[in-house]
Amino acid sequence: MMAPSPGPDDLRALYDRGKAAPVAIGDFVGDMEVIGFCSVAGEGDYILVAGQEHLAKPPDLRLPVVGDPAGLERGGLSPVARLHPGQLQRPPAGFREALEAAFASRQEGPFVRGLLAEIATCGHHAWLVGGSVRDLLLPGQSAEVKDFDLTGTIGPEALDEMQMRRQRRRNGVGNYISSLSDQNVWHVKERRDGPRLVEYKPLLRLGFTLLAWGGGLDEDVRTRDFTINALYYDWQHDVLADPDGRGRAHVRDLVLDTPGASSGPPGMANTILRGLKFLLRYPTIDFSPLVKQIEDTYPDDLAPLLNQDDWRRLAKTWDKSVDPELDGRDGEAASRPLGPKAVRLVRELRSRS
Amino acid sequence: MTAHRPLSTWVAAVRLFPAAPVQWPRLIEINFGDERCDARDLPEFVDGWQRQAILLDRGYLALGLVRDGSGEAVVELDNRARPVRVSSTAAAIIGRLEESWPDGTLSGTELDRLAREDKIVRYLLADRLAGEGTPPPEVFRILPWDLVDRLASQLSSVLDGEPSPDDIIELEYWFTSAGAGFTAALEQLDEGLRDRDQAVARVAASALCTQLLAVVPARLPEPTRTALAALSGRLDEVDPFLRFAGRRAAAWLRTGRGTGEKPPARLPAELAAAADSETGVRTESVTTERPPFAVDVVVTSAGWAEITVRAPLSREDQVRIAQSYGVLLVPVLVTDEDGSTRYFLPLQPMADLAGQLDVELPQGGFVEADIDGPPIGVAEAALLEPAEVQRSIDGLRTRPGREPWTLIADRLPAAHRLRELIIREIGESE
Repeated sequence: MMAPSPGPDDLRALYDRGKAAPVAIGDFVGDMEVIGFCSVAGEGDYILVAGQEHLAKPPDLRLPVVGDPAGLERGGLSPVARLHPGQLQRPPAGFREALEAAFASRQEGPFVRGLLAEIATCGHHAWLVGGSVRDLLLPGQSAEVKDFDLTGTIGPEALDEMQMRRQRRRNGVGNYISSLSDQNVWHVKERRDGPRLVEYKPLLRLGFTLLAWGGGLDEDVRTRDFTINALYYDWQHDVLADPDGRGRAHVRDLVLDTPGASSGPPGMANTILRGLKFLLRYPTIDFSPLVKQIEDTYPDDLAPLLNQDDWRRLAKTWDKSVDPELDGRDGEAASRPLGPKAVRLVRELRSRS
Repeated sequence: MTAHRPLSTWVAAVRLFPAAPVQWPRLIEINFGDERCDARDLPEFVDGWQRQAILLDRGYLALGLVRDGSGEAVVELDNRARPVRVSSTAAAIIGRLEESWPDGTLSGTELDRLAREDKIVRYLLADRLAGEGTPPPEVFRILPWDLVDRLASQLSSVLDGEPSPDDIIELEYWFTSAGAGFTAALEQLDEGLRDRDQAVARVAASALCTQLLAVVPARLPEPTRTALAALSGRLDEVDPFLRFAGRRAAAWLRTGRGTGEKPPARLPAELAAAADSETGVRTESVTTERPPFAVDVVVTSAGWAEITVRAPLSREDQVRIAQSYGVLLVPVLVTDEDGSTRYFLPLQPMADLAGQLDVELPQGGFVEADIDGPPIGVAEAALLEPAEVQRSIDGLRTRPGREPWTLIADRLPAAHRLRELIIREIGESE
C-alpha cells in the first residue's frame, strides 16, 4: 500500500526515515524484503524476511544492536506512514506539562525521561501508551500517572542491551530490577514483588507464527483493548497519535469501544472484564458500543470455550482490574449492563474462585 | 504443604528423560504462558515438587524443581529468562532448607558454600527467605558484599583525591533483599564523583545517610559496616551540611544500636504567664547542637514552640546551596506526648543560615525538637508527600519565612501537584 505523501503541516514528516534510520519493514537486506522482527529471550533480536510469516523457529538473520545488517537498502516506511495526517496532532494544552510533572514527582521519572531521550538518540521512536495517556487527557481530571507503559520501534533485546546502567545509577535507581520476558516485554520494578513501574513492548506485527514486532501504529492499535487506551504520545516530538481515529473523541465523550474485534474466546472474556472495570470506574461512560459488540459477535456462553489457564488469567484480571473498582459492590450485579453473556461469564468466574 | 516452590518469579517447564540432559529450547514459555504472574504463587506448586539441580544440554546444572516420578520439571529463570546456574551442593542445601521453610537454619559451612554460588542464586534465596519469614541476620551474608566493600573503599579514596578507576562496580539489585536500598545511593555517589557533578553527589550523599540509618547493621558483614561507616563519616567532604547525618549513620553502623549523640533537650510545654514581664509572655529556651546545625527551642507561655535551626554560613556555602540544593530544607522532628511530627524547614542565608518553625504546643507534657536526617534540596522536595509539604508551610508564620517555598514552586514543572499546593498555601496565608 502506498503511503499518502505528507503536506507542509503534516506531522508525519517528523518521522521520515533518514539515511541512518534503523532497519524497518519494507527495507531489503540483500535481495530479501524485511517483513518483521522477532526476539529470543536472553539471546537477541532477529530479522524476519519475506516468506517467513509462518516460521516456527527463530530465523538466522541477526538484527545488530548497533549499526546496519550487511547489505541493507532502505525503502521501508516510517511507523506512522500509513496513518492519515489528522491522526497525528499536537496534544491539548497542559498535557505535556502534566507528563513532565509526573516525571518530576516519581523516583523513576527522570530515568524514564532519559530512556525516551536515549531511544531517540538511537534513531528509534517511542510512545507512551495506555492508561497514562488516557488519564492525562480525561477532561476535568487532575491525572496522576501510575506507571509508564511504552511502545516503540526499538527491539526488546536492543533496549535491554542499552540498559542505561550509567544513567540509572546517576538517577539513584541503580538497584531497580529490569527484566525481559519471552513475550518481548521489558519492564522495570523497584522490588521483585512490586508493581511494574516501566513497561516496554515493541510495536506488534500480526499474522505471524512467531511473536513478531516492527509494525506501524496502524497495526499495533488493533492489539489494544479499548479506543480510550489506544492513544500514543511521542514525548520526543510532542505528538499525540490516534491510529484508530476515534480515541480522542472517545476519551473526551467517555465512550467505551474496541479498536478491533477481540481474538478468540479468551480475548473476548478479557474484554468483558476490562470493560466492567471501566464501567465501574466511570459510571457515566457510554458503553453501548461494547454491549452491541458483545451481543452481535460473542458466543452465548464463553465458559465452555475457556481452558484452565484462561480461567487463571481471567481470575488475575478480575483481582487486578475489577475487584479494586467494585468497592464492596456485587460483581455479578455490576456486570448486568454489559448483557447476559457478560453476566454468565462473571458468574462462572466467581463460582470458580 | 511443601515449601519446594520456585525461588524465582519465572520458571519454564521442561521434560526429564532418564540419564539424559534436558534439551533447552531457544523459544521458551515463561510460567506456563503467563509471564506477568509470580511463579512463587502459582497453584501448580502447592504440592508434590522436590528441589533439584537439573542438567541442561548447555553443559551446566540449573536450579529446578521436579515432580516425583512424573518426568515433569521446571527450570528457574533469571530476569533475562535464562536458566539459573547452580551447583548440586547448593541445590541440596536449598532443598533441605525448604523442608522447614521459612524457619530452617543454615550452618556456617552451608552459608560459606552458598556464598560461592552465582549471585542470582544468592539473591533469589535471600529474597524469598526475607519475603516469607524472618531469617537471622547472618543469612544475608551470602550476598556479594565484597562489591559494596570495594565501592565504599573506592569512594573514600576518591574523597582522598584519587581518580575514579575506569572499572565501574555494579551493585545492581543484589542487596535489596537485605533491605539495603543504600546501594543505589552508593552507585549514584560514584556517578556524581566521577562526573564531578556536585548536585548529583550531594543528592546521593544525602540519600546515603538516610538509607544507611534504615539498614539493620547486623545483616551487613563487619568489613562492609566498617567500609560504609568510614565513608559516611566523611560525607561532609561532599557537602558540609551532611556532617551530622553522615556521622550519625557512621555511629549507627559501628554500634548497631544507637547513634551516639546526646538526645535533644526537652522543655515543659506549658509555662505560667508572667504578668511582670514587659510582654506578659514568659519563655524558656534550650539549644541542641547538631553540627553544623544548632536547634533552638523556645517555649512561650502564649502556647507556642518557636524552633529555630541555624548554621554558620560562608560565601562558599552560599554558592554551594544555590547550585546543589536550590533551597536547603532541614527535616525537623518535633516530639510531644502525643508523638512525633516531621516538618521540612527551609533555611535562608542571612548572617547565618537560619529558619524558624512555630508549632502550637500541646496541653501539658513536654516538647522537644531535633534534626531528623540530612538536609534536602528542590530535587528531593519534588518527591515529598503533599500533606508533609502543607504541614511544613503551615508551620511558618511569616511571609519571609515562607518565601523559600515559593522558590521551590518556581522550580517545579508547571503541572506538578506540589506547585499548585504551595502556591495555594502561600496565597491563603497572605
